[in-house]
Amino acid sequence: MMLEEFSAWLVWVIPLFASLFVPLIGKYSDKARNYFVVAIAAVTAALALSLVPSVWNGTGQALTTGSVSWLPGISAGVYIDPLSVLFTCLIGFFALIIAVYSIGYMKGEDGLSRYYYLILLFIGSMIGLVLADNMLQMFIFWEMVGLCSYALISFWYKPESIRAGVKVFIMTRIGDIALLAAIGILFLMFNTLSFRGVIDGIQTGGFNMDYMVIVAFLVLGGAIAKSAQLPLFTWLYSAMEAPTSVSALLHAATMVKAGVYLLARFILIFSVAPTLISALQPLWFPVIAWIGVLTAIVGATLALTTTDIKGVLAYSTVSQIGFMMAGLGAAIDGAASVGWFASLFHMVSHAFFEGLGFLLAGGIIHAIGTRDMRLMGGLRKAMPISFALMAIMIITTSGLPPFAAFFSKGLIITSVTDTGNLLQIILLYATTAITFAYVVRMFSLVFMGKESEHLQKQHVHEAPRVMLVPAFILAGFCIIWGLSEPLVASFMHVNLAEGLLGAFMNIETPIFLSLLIPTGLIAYYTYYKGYKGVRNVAAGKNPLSTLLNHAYFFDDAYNLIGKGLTGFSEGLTRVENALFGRYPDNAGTRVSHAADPGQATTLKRGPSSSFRNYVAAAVVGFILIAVLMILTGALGIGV
Amino acid sequence: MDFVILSLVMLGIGVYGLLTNRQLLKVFISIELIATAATLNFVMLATSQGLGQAFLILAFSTDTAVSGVILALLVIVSKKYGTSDMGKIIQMLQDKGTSEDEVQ
Repeated sequence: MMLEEFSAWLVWVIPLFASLFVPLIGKYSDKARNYFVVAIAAVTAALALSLVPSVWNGTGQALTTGSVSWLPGISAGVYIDPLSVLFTCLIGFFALIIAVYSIGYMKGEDGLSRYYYLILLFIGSMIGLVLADNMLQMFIFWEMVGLCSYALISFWYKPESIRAGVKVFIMTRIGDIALLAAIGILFLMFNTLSFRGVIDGIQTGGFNMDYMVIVAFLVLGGAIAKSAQLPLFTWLYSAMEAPTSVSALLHAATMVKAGVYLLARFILIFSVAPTLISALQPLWFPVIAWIGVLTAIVGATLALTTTDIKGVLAYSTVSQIGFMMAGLGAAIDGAASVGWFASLFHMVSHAFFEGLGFLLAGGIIHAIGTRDMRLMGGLRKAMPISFALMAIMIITTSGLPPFAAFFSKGLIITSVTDTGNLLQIILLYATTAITFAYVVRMFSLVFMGKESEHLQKQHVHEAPRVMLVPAFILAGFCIIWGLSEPLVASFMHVNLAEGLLGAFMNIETPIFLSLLIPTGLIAYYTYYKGYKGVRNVAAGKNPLSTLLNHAYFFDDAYNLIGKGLTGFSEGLTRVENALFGRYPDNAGTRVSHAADPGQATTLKRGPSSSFRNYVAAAVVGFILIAVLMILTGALGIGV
Repeated sequence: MDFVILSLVMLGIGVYGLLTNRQLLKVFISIELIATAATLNFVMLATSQGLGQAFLILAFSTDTAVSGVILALLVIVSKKYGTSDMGKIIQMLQDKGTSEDEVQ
């Protein structure tokens, strides 16, 4: 028992602690810093793997919740169960892959100490998130991964990267507020923050059913924002401003899966009370399933139209996480359902094939210096290894047997079929067909056809070995992961009704495969025979292309809200100037307004004097409030 | 309930300040007001004895550190751009961004 607890602590404390030393080592030697990060990532991966045997041999329940008291009533601890260990292993493994890949991809960039610091901080926080034994600890790490995501997206200090980083941060904060509210309600009800305490509270039945339903929906809100689901999915496309290695680690393999982890964890918690699960069945599970299904098809159609190679992968991620949500929504009997396992199984196989896609896209961007697929084409001669690996990636993504996504996606479709919602099933089948179309489109635009003029001007080279080896490993997992389904099921302590061969036998497979034939034919005629029909629809002006080019108008709607707020605040400023314009501070504002409309304040009195006044005011305010609070606290005057 | 009203008023002033000001310093003060309003709630509505007060100490120490960093950044920003007006700085950054794009 002791050993697991020990490594479960070290696995997230070591990266967090080591991140502090990255800038120090970077001062002396760049090479030492890079290998230091790789070594720490390797240690993390090894520690994560060391958690596997005990969970494998365990009962499927949480093994241990070793905790250390932090503040009175609040402790920090680790929660080791199949779910958290599955995520820990995935994150540790990807940390190592990306640390190695970064050596090649980020070679010669400025600010690499900052990059590696943030990567290690992210790895530690992400593992801390999934291993946390109480909700406060989980929430702190939840915010920290958001912060790392923001900082890494803005890594290149370009105006558009900074804007993208801020957009991502603000959009995911919407979900964070919902999650915080859920944690607050749970704390009020059970007077504890630990998962174990909440489970005990639910088991004894001391909870208000209506509040629990509200909590469930708030948790769903947190998951939607973090996992880029409808209607908050647009941030993931903007996040592609990040370096490609970061996109692979954060925005394909791990961070966007935090929402899936959260929902899976809470379904596991809710499952201890059958009455609670049956209270959630009429509304909560169908809402998750619908969000997942709609996001899957929206993401897939958008991936069909974007010309940015990373944009295709971003929308593909949105779409695939939609599949996972659909699987979780089909888990109407709680964690014992096939849907719960199917979703997590697909989560891992998606990490492999999408990660592989990003690593290869990074190699291509590295070689030709653009993300625009219209400037690519005919790369199969210059980059034969990437070409072969990308073929594995598109076969896996489209779900052809016997690669990973065939089993995982098939399991999700089976579980949704079991719930019997016909429209959802049809939409999921349509999405698999569109998935095939967009990966073939990407593959054709990048690797097939003639070399574009842009490429003829430069010497294109294959990606360096340090970037290809991680891709090879991921490609290997794409092939074998699906076949390991029975092993994963026994690790997760889930009983699957059908075995490995069952996936080939059931009714879904022929339907699914027959759907790929027309899609494949359309793609073949469009990209190899020069048939113009589809291209004309895409290039022409019709409702469909307008809708897709504007990404279903979600961003436009958010911009309208932003414009409304700005207009409101400008109106308020005008009112303030009209009312209080005679006061010295605002007089400056008025003068400059008159001289140059649209431009705001010039400080007339010189910055230093008002600066000091403001700080003094703030400090006095601080002290007054502090004295007030301590006095009332000491005197015991409550509200 | 008095404290809830007080923190609501502080929140209102903070939000008003955020909406009407484009001077970075005033914006910062507004944000601090909002944060303090939240801290006030923490202390006064804490259910278990001592925990809220413990959080107060934690919140104040982090707040002070954050204030130090932000104020230092503000000084750098206003020295670099010659103004602490958000609108003007954003305008400058955008002009710079477009000109860089044109070069490429």
